[in-house]
Amino acid sequence: MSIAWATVVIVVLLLPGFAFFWGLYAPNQVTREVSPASPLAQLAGVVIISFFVHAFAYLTINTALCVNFPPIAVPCVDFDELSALVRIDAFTLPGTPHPTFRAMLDRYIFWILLYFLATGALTGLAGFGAGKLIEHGHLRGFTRHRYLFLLEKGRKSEESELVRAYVLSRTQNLNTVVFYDGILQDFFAKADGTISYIVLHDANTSAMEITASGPAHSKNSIPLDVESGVRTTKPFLVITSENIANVYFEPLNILRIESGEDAEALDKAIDELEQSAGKTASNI
Amino acid sequence: MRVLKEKDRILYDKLVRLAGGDSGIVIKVLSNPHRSSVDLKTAIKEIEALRNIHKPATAPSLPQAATV
Repeated sequence: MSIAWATVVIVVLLLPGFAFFWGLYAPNQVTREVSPASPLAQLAGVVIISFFVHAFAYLTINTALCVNFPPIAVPCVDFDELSALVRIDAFTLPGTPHPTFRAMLDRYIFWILLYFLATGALTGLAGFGAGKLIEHGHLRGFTRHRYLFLLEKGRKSEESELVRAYVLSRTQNLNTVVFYDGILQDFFAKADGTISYIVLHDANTSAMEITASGPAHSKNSIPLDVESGVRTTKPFLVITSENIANVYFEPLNILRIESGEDAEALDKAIDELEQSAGKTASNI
Repeated sequence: MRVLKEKDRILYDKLVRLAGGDSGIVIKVLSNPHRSSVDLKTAIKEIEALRNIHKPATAPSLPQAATV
């Protein structure tokens, strides 16, 4: 019972540290998916952050809030009671009346909850701020794989930023290697920054021959989706790390839609094209 | 990690449709090394111009080819 209780208390005390890392990972997918490379190091971070947050809160409450804040009767933190709370046995020792524990909780439960909500929210916000700074290229020491942030930039932008990926596969026959290209749809990196898999939209395949004078790319690229005009759900190509030799990422020109009229003009142009194609087909 | 937004995918597919199913034309327009961005109106004009240039030599569009 005492071990379980101590575990519960420790987990609650570590709440600010967990909140910090939750906030740190919240702004972007890159840190959420890649950063916890060492769970042990992260746990150490949780403990250290929680320690300093509680120390700072203790200092603030006991030297300022509970002494010099008369409009609201903020109670001081009683470290003796806290340490007794961690060792629940202290409340059941001979000479220690049981009601002390219950009475303490009944009396201070609001302040205890407020304390953990406040410390959790503040450290969560601090983590979120740190995550934002990392995302925008600051705190470079925490940025392990910068290229992942560059890939993610397009998704966060209001404008259309497409990235084309050229994937050299490991599938080969003699000197000829299969090559894929397409619009990068999804991407997953392992904790060490290497590619786990990539997903391509509108994928094409071609061949690359490795000759004595250098690699020679085939002139024709064959679309994998041969019925693109018919499907409502668009197909995609998934290539896993076992089949990826390397990837060349090419960010395309940013496509600006300056007004709603631009989108309407595009729809109109497509309609005109498809109507004229329909007329041509019916005449044949 | 999601890279391609749904609205960007829809826009790209529309541009490919405008290019008569030839995604190579769209890529050619959007990978101009002399600029970092292009407005949609200009992109539409350039795609239409390239589509019209490629038209006589172009093979049947893919859906047609698939039904042959």
